[in-house]
Amino acid sequence: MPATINKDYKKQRVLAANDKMSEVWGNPEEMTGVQTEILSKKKLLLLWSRGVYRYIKNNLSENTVTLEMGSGSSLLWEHVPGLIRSNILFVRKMILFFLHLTYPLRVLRWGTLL
Amino acid sequence: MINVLHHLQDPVTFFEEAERVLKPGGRVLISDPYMSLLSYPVWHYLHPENCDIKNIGFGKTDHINPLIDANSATATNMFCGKGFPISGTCDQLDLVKVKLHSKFLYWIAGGYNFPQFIPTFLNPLVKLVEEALSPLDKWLASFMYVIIEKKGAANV
Repeated sequence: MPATINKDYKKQRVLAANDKMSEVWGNPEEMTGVQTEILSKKKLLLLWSRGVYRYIKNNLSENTVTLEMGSGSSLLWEHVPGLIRSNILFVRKMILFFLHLTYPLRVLRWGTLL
Repeated sequence: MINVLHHLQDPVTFFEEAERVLKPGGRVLISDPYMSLLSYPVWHYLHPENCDIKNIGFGKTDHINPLIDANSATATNMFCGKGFPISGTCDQLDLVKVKLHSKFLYWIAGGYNFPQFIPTFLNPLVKLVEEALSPLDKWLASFMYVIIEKKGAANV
């Protein structure tokens, strides 16, 4: 039986100590924008992210179409040519968008979902 | 999916769909939070997202906010034990690999919510120490990679 989610967004907002994150807390589109800005400015976070991107890239199925689910502020597209980006909420400039349980995966057969 | 699985309300439904649409040999790649002795208190008490070590996904609600509704322990609960493949579902999916990673580098970087805790010139040193401590990932890691593959010929 799944647990009841912590719905105390106010408390979560307090824990989001970054002022900009706190301001946009609860607005997915603006949060993604702020996260993108933060990632571009924080070198150690970027270093960590690039390590993740390298591992992902090295373990893709070869010569197949790859769909990144929930791209958000990810810069994986810089490492994986032809990557199709998407998100689990509506965010401008994303190619696809979808909501939690209605995955738009009805037509194509994918080589990698990540 | 980089830090996405734990935001899915019902991950089992996702894997059922992935099983259906992947090519034989196709993969699902995941990087998500891992609950170790070191990281669990941080995820639970200092990170804004919900963390429930007893369940996968999170409870039903009519008002989902995809970026802040979450269960950070979902991947640990699913893949570090006998949770996957889920009995009776996803039998065409093989769990190929679980690899733990990232001990404290992400936290020292401050993640997305806090400022970086060390001066930038120490970044290479932190990375070196992080790599040197890899044998202790089981107790210290904060994240995990998961590779799942659909049965059949590879790269068809």
